[in-house]
Amino acid sequence: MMRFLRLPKFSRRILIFLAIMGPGIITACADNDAGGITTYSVAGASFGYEMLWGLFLITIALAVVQEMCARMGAVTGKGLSDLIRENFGVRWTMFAMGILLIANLFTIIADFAGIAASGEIFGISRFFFIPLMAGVIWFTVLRGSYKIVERVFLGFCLAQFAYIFSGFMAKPDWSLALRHTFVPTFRMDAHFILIFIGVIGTTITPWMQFYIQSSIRDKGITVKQYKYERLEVLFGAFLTDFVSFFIIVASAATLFKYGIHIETARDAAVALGPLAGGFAETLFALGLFGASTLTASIVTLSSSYAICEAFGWESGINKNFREAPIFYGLFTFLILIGAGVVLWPKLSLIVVMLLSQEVNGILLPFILIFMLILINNRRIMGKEVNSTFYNVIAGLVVAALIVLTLILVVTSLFPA
Amino acid sequence: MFVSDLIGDPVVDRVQEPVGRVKDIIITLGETFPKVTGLLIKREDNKKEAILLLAEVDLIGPQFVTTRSVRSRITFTELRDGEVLLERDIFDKQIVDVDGARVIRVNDLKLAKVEQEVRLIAADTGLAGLLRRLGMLRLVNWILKFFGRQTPETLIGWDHVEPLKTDFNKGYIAIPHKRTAELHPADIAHIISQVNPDQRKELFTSLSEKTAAESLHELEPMIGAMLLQTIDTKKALGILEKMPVDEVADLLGDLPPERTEEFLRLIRIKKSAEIRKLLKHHDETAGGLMTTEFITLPQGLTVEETINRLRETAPSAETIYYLYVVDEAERLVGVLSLRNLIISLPEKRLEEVMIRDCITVTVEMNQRQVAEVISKYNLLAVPVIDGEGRVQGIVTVDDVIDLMLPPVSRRKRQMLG
Repeated sequence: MMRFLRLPKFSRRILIFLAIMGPGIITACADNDAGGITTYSVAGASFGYEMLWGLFLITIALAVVQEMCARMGAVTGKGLSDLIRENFGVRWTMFAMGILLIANLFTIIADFAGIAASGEIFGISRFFFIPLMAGVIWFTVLRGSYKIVERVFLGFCLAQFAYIFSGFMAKPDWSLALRHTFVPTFRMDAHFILIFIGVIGTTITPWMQFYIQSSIRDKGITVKQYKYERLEVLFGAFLTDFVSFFIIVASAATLFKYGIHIETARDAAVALGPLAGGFAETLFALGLFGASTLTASIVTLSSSYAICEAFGWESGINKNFREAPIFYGLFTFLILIGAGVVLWPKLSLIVVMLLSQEVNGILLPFILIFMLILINNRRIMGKEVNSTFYNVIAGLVVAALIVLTLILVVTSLFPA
Repeated sequence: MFVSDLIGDPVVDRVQEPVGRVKDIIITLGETFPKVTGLLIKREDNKKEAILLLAEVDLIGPQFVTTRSVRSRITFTELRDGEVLLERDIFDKQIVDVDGARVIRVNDLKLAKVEQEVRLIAADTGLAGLLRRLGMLRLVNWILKFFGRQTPETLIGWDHVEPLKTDFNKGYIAIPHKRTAELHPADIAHIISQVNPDQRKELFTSLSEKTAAESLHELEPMIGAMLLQTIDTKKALGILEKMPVDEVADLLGDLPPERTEEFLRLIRIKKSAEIRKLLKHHDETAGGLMTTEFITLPQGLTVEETINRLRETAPSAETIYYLYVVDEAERLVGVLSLRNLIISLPEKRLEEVMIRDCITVTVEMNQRQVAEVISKYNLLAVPVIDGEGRVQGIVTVDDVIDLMLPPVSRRKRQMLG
């Protein structure tokens, strides 16, 4: 039982802050999952520091978008899929859930690809490792203690912080890196645009908006306690992209410098070379494995919850299969497909991981438009509706993604 | 007739001239089966939304709606605030199904002609409603017909549905068989933990003090503490009065100190003194778990005197299965089960029939060890003694049952509570 409310005011504040911090750190780590690490590595390896300005702007957008979700959760006490269902009706809900399902399925596939790639670095065949991990995830999330799983894999994720040190030790050209962080560079070729969409799509993901809002609701955070939550969201966005920044810098200072193209996960591990030397691959594999497993678990579970909630089907790991057949069916289906696709023998894991983030980036605007309509509705949000600043930022993300996708279609159809 | 069939229907006048299309349906709440009073339509002539009162309507059906008079003579009214619209306000909203203790959604609504009125009679919460909204019901039924089946209908009669009024969150509660008050407190607690904070407060306030007190114990401590702070102090006090002291202490322990102090000042002096005593002990020790409501008896009494005394004082103690025998200095000397007492000869003295070496725990003992002791000796309760051997309270088996269950069922219980 929690007695923290009896503590003196100051320490109580810190404890409340830490208790609320949980989901932020988890999403921050889960954000740099298989797709994330790959996309940032490829961005750094292919274009050096050129995409850092994009990351800088995306960080602001990430903070804004996640704050919107957290605010909706605190004000309405409902999840995002609840709000979509209650305000847009069945057809639009089908549409939104279809989008979410496709985006999440790609994310799950990418994460199984990440698990497979990390296994291969250790010399474990994916035909053994993938079925094993699919079983482990299925069993631990549904039948075991999810909390323990979360902590173990979060521990693995700490390996990601190695990028920060490696980024420094690779002796990057700091003046160039800083200039690219604040001065935009753009190239009108399909590869650049595709990676750029991928970077946006991996940083601001559709699933995370649903996850954050649900976790705020489940914790029963109210408008009054919301100021702590806002801090957390801002901190989480910063932390996520702090690591991402160094992944790009470390990759640019190593891979890009020597002209290495990432074709397998082993190549991407070179970016950790300046720090870990011969252990770079091990360290890379550990971080990749932890983040991928954590994200695969979270995304399968949160997609099943979101979809069941939207349609009023029974859900919850405390129900049995007979009580909540669709929930269990969906969960199992997502894991089977995610793991099954990766077992395809000729599949390039790196391509899958990159592609999934691009799909996420292309689908994100739809979810953002739903969110923008909801959060500007006074009937739902009362006086907590979006300020103009927030609307402009979120609107710009939507516009940028749509324009980029259109340019992408055009440049792929008519290469210069 | 279902609302989803009606919405989008063309409205024509008595000479088949188009008037508009149905956008929504207006009802007045208050009766068990609410009456439809009008249709919100999008007018054909000026493309504006207006209300067509039901008095103007002649026929109403799933294909079209006709009016009594010709187009030019229909009077429209404006939509006012506070009007209840079926599609806007009830479609897709949550229904807390008390029977299955789960949250479902209104997929569709069923209307029916009752005498001369059209009334809302049921909510469709099943797959059929969902498919009908998507315009796919006929197709699916046509396919299913080859297998000799049909999409199952899941209707909840509107007489079993009660609205929960809150500021932002409109929600409904369905009570198919029983009233909320007749449900087991553990079920009510489960429902409370399933709905959002606004509805939670609404639902909780609607319970009687006794039911509220019982469900409060079954709720997760944080939710319980939050509820206690949101409802008004008078009601909260009434509920606290109905709870055993150890449960009150647990609950107050989770409140901020200012609030705890406020409640303690308002509770009956005798009860609050006991609560204060309990609050001093650390949460996870025997002292934090124990209740101070138990029965002690002086060792000099005879069996007959004891039984009379129990009957007279009609003790409110949580458990009377064990009676604790103490000496002049209130030190524990023996224990007696109710069974021992009843089968003993009336004239025997307590010290002759009691068991002398009792199993006890200390105030500081960790709750897990307490649970082990209770489980090892198969006890219903164990006395908690201080350094001098005086009984401070007892820990009953239901206070530690969560610690004895294997992790999975414990998690289940917590999620339910």
